[in-house]
Formats: sequence, structure tokens, C-alpha cells
Amino acid sequence: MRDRDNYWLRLQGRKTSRRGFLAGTGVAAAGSAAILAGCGDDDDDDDEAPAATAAATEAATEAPTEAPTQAAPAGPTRGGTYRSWKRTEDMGMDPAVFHTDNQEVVYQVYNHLLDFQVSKGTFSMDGAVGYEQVDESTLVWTMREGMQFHNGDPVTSEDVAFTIERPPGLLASLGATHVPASTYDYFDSIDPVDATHIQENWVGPRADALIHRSRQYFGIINKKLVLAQPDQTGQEHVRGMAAGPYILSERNAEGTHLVRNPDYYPHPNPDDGFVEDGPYIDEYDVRIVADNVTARSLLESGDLDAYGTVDALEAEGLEGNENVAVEGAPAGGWAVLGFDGGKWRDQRAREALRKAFNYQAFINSIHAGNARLQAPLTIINTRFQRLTQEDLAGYYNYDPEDARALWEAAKSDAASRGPDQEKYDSIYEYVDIHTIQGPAYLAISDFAATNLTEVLGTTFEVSSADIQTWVSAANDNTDDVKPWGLLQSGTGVGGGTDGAPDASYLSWFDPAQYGSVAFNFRHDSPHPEIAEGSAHVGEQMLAQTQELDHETRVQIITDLQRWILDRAWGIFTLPMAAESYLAVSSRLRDYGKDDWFNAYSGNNTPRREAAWLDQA
Amino acid sequence: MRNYIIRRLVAMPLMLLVMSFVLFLLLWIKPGDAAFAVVAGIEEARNLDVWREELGLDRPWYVQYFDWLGNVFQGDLGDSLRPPRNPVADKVQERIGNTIEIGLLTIAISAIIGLPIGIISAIRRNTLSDYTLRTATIVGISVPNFWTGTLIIIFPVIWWGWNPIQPYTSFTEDPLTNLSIVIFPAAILAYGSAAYTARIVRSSMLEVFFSDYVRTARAKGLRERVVVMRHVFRTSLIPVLTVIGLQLGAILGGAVVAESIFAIPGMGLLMLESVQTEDYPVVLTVVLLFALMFMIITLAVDVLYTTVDPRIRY
Repeated sequence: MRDRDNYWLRLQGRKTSRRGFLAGTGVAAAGSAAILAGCGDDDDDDDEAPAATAAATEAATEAPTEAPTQAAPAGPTRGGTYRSWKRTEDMGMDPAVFHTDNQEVVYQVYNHLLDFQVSKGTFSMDGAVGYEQVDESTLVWTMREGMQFHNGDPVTSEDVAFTIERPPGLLASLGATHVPASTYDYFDSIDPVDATHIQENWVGPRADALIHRSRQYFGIINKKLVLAQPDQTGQEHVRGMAAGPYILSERNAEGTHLVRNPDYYPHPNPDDGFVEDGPYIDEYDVRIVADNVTARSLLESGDLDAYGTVDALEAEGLEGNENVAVEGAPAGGWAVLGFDGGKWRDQRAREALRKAFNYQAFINSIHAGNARLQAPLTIINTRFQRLTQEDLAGYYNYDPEDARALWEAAKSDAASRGPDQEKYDSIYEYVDIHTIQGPAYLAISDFAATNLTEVLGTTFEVSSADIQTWVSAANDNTDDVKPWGLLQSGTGVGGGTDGAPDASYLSWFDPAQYGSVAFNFRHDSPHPEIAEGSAHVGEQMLAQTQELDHETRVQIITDLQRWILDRAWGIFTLPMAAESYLAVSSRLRDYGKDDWFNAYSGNNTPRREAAWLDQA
Repeated sequence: MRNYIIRRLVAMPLMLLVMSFVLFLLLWIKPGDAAFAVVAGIEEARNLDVWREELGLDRPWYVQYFDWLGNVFQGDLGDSLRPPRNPVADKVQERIGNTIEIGLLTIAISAIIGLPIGIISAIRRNTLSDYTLRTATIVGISVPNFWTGTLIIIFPVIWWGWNPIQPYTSFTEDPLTNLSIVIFPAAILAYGSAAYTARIVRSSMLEVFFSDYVRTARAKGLRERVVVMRHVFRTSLIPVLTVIGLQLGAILGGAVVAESIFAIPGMGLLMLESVQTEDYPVVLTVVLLFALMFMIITLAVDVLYTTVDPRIRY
């Protein structure tokens, strides 16, 4: 997959790094200034054009780097401040209300019953010391004794039961939360049995309940304190609401600061990710940095411990910086062209698009030859993924002639349907690929537009918008067709899953989730074939999440994936980067690299008390 | 003079009113609304209607606008639409000092650098120092401040592994540390502003350098320094004052970029965040505050004209 000698690669041209661009524009600017100084004048005197200053030229072209000089780590040491960043202020501190820009608090200030290591498929006990699936709809937790909130209140089984049961109540009182309904819509009752046991009673089986409980929404919260708040939430954090390893000490427009909880409970015989005597790191400092370039420069100067994911080009640019460590991990990213189910009702049209797409050229051009085919279920969700790259290659094969024939056949039928169906058949005349403003998104969309126009003979054009406008267009349900033809989303780099199929890209096809909201594959579609297909996908999504036998569940998911691929249903998934890169400081150790990509954690380390800072 | 100032002061609220109306319409016309920012993407878009209702966005635009306006007349700037829905006044109060500090520092640096450069450039016109200074000023005018700011961050890291960005410390907490933080955005904003000022000073001075009264002053035997500073520079100050006043608008606009690049929690950054999340109570407040500051400064400049040039009467 490294054929670089092709039309698409030449079309795309060699990618330019941001630094290279700056250097180039620096020279251009200095030169332009010199020319302008020579040409422009405030009076009528003649001038000599001064040369660009040597300093400016030097500044723009010189970019020395040093070889990395990493010393071998001596082993975990305690102390230090972990420095991270986020773009903007949080939307509140209650873990069960919003999850935007407050992960550092949710994961480090709150504790959870357990932690899920996605990469290994294992659970680590935290606030619980065990659990028992009594029957298919009853789960009993045994909580750890001796836990206390930051104000000294003991953590009781009532607090834990309150933590688990409250999302439906929050939904009712607030009208909306960020907690997915799939994590609690199977509750019957949550009861504290005694001082250390909590029983979950469900209306039916739910295979991912344990994973759900490890998510941020279920950070154990102090019932008494929460109910004492005017809005009965933890949105305004009060000391004592949480019982985790760190205490929120400062939160303002500059960021958030956390300090170690001196009374944190021990984890005897700790599971992976935990330490018997509590976390190694003393403090957390999360700054608000609105600009990516600024954050990256902080990483490079050794003032930041976690930057986040970078693409291959950025990874190359960071090589050699002694303050930075760039590590690769299997990528779970996605890039898709979502169909508007209101217009892409004809399976032949969807198949035509899939056959018209030049995968090899795309991989060479967008991913420098290093990419994989993406399945409907996130490809790195290995516990559930049975489709191989060979299987997927059978579906994603470039065949322009076949594509054109399918497209023309669908177009011909559309023409016979008459003008009353015009709005549903507009794709045969013109397709708007709607994407987000940003170089990576535009590169993908531009490629698709050029490629598809050339092969199918219909005009595909790119329109782009800021993220809010894009989301608005994605969710525009004012008509039974969308204001776009194809919705481009994702760059195929980074990304991940929390391990549950419902939280992978499979949910994009689900008519109970984005399938209906964003992509118009709805039960009430004006096209019977779309409505029937949506019903099938919905049924299978529900069936898999209720199936407790793993092998049976995997079979349901695999069958559903094949059903989707056979019909080119819903969303056209594009190839994705084979590897993701994570940029962190060279002093950060044992931070759970592989799970970082999977965790729903922005730029912040997920729950991992075993992380430490090599300050030698 | 008094009547003139009163007229200007009376016009200010009317202008702000028109601006707020136009701005609100622009925000309303733009696709999407604050509810999208709350639901944080298409994941939770099922909750959009609920949030629209909660935030009052389901009401007709004119109801939203006049509701906001009515509250403003009663001294209530409203609450931010973005959870946790803090009062706008609190947000502004928390940040306005930082932006004013950067603005004042920018104007000071701009004047300290721009005026002497302009004077030197005019006095030594068509010499090597003139060419060098003019090159520097053209670079300052033509290079956008976001680019200069980015370079200021990137190149020190590459060369020395050092970054000018530090955790923000307020002036009251530690004045020296605070100045070491805000000096960079102020300097970047001041560079462009100073360059413009210098060009205007130079051209204004050159216009009067060869006028009759300057020749007369020289003929009287006045020293060149007195001729330049008392007769040439003072006369050329009127356009310079105008430019400095107008530069304030650019400085306030530049604060959006500078604060975001240098991670300074000021009004500019607040506006950027609020525009992105379509948080109209915050956007309107910040923009109108900027506009008010701009109007006051331009009024002050107009009043200053009478001091600089006694012939001017209002």
C-alpha cells in the first residue's frame, strides 16, 4: 500500500508541515516587506530597496533539533505535577450531567466502582472489591470498605446506589444530560442491600453493564451533599462530593488544579493501573489553551506532559525533541461519508459510490500509504471484531466501470419517477459533500469530490462550515431530506472506543442513535426500503446488547456488519490510518498508552494511578 | 465644546442599540445555536429541542432580543447560555482587567516605539537608518499579528527550548510575573500599531518639514531639535492622534488572537469561545463593551485635537 507514483498522490502533492509553512512564509514575508519598502513611499523621494534582514531570513529558515537523550527510567517515583491542557472551560463538574472539558475532574477527583482496560479487555477494581452477576438481570456489587469523601464523610452503599440510579432522574429534572440512555435504560431498581452491598435489578439482560459502570458518568458522588444543592446536582463542585485520589483546589478561567487527597483509601493487591498506597503523581494542573500551536509549543518546551494525538507528519516533526515522547498505537479512528437516507434510498447508488472510490489512491494520498480498511464496528474493538482486512477488501473494491453502470441504472430509474420525487433524486444531478473546516477534513472531502465526479459523471462538490454549523446541518430534520448529500466526518486518525459495541462506530448506523438523527435512516422514512432496513438494524443492535453469551453476541454483530456491507447501508466508511501517535512529555511513564486512545478522555490521562513522572 | 461632548455621549447609546440589533441578527441568521454547543456534537443531538427550550432559544428571535435588551436596561446582562450558565457580568468582571491591561500596555509600547521611529525616519529621510526603519514598519503593517504571535511561540522553543507562555498570574498577585506574561501579546499587538503610527508620523512630519513657518523658525536661529519637536512634530500630531485612536479598535480585535495564542483569560478569548458556542448574551456584551471603549477613546481623541491645535473648535 505504498504506491506513491500515482495520479492522486501527485494531485495531492507533498504535504507541508506547519513549521515548514511558517518558515516559507517567513521568507516570503520578509522578502515582500523589502520589496514593499522599496516600492512604497510616503513622500516623493526616490528610495533604494533595502534587503531583507539577515535575521529575518535566518529566523525563518533555521530549525535545529537535538537528538533525544532519554535516560533509562529507574522505576516509579512519587511526586511532581502532571500538566495537561484543554481548549475551554468545562460545562460543570457533575459527572452525570456533562462530559465536556471536565474529564480531568471526573477521572481524578471522582472514583468509580471499577476501571475497564479496553486494550486488554480486563476490569480493575476500584471502589468495588467485587461483583456478582446473580442472574441475567441482577448484579450485586461489593464495595470497598474504608472509603471516605474529601470532607471526611464515609462513602456508603446508599451513596453508591444513588450514583448508579440518578441519571434517569437527572434526565427528568434537567431535560437532558450527556449520559447515553443505553447506560441506564435497563434499570428496574438500584438498592443498597447492606453496608457494603448494592444490588442492580434490571428489566432484562445487558451485556455491557460493567463497562457502563466504569464510565465517567458513574463517578461515586456524595448523596447528602448533592441533594443539599439548589439544583440537586454536582455541577458546582463542593468539597466532599467526591472520594477520588485528588481534590479540586482551583477552577477558573485559567484552568483547573488538583492536589493529592491525603486520606485516599488504599488498594491492597491492586489491579492493573492502581497502586496500593495511592497515585504516584502529587498534583494535576490543567490549563486552558485555546490554540493548538500554543499547546504543542508548551509540549516541546517541556511545559506540558500530555498533548494528545498527532498525525504522522506532526509525529515526524516532534522527533528529536528531548522533552517529547511520541508513541504509536493501533488506531481506531474513523472517516466517513454518511449518506442522507432521504436521498440515497437506492442501494445501487450507494454501491456505485463504494465501487467508484479509489481506495489505494486515497490511502497513498491521505495516509501516506499506511492505512487500513474500516469496518462498521470499530476495527480495534478486537473482542467483537471478526471481519478481517481480507473480508473488508471484498466489499471495498475499486471498479469504476461497474460503478458507472450501477449509477446510470439508478439514475435512469430516478428519471422515470417524475418531478414529484425530484428532491429525493437530486443526487444524480449534484451531490454536496458537507464537511468541517480544517485541512484534514477538506483534503478527504476534496479527494472524494474529485474522485467521484470523475468516475460517476455527476458533480460532487465540497462545502465546509465551522463545527457548530456542521453539527447544525448534520441534525437538520426540518425536511425528510438533509441539506447535504454526503456528510463527511472524521479524519481517520486517532479515535477509539470504550469497548462496548454501542460506543463504537456501529452506533452511527443505529436508528435509535445517530442513524436516525444524523443520517436519515429512520423508521418513519418516506422510503419503505429505508424504514424496513432501519428497523432491522435497530432490532439487531438491541439483540446484541442483550445477549450475555459472548460468542453468540459476536455472531450477531458480525452478521449485522455483513448485512450493512452487503447493502452499502447508511455510512460509507473510508480507510483509516493504521497507526495513531500520542505525543506526551518524555518524563511521563506508565500512563496506559494503548487505553489512552480508547478512553473517552480528551487530552487527559484516563484513570491510571500507576502513571508517574520521571523527574530524574 | 460641552455641547459637542453631550451630543456625542447621547449618540453613544443609540449607536450601541443599533449595533446590538445588527449583531443579534447576524448571530441568529447563522446556522445552529447555543444548544448545539451544549449537546456537544451529534452524539446527544436527540436532546436539542429540550435544550432549546431550556435556553429560551425556541422563542421567536425578536422576543429573545427584546427580552435580553429589557434586562440590559435594568442592569442585568443575563446568564451565559453555556452551562453552568454563570452570569455574564461575572465572566466579564473576571476577565476585563486582563484585556484592559494588555490594551494599555500595547498603546504605551506602540507610542514609545512608534513616535521616535517616525520622527527619526523623517529627520533622517533616505538614509540607511530610514530604510531600515521603514522596512521594519512595513513588516509590522503587512504581517498579521496571529502569524507574528505564532512565531514568537514556535521559534524560541526550537532554538532554546524555551516558551514565553507561563501559567497566568494576575497583576495584583505578582506584578512582575504578570508583566513578564502580558508583555509578549502586548508587544505583538504594539508592533503592528507602532509601525502604522511611525509611518503616519513620518509622512505627517515630512509634509510640514518644508513649510514656510518651519523655514521661518529655522531662519530665527532656533535649534533643530526645537524646530522639530515644537514646530514640526506638534503640528503633525493631529493625524497621529487619529491613527492612535483608530488603532485601539485593531488592538481590541487583536486581543482575540493574542489572548488565544498566549492563553491569557481575557475578553478576547471569552469572545472567541462565545462566538464558537453561539452564546449570544456573552458575545453581545463583549462586543458592545469593546465598541463602548472604542467610542470613548475616539471622543477623547477628538477632544484632544483642541489641545494640540487651538484652531479647532467644536
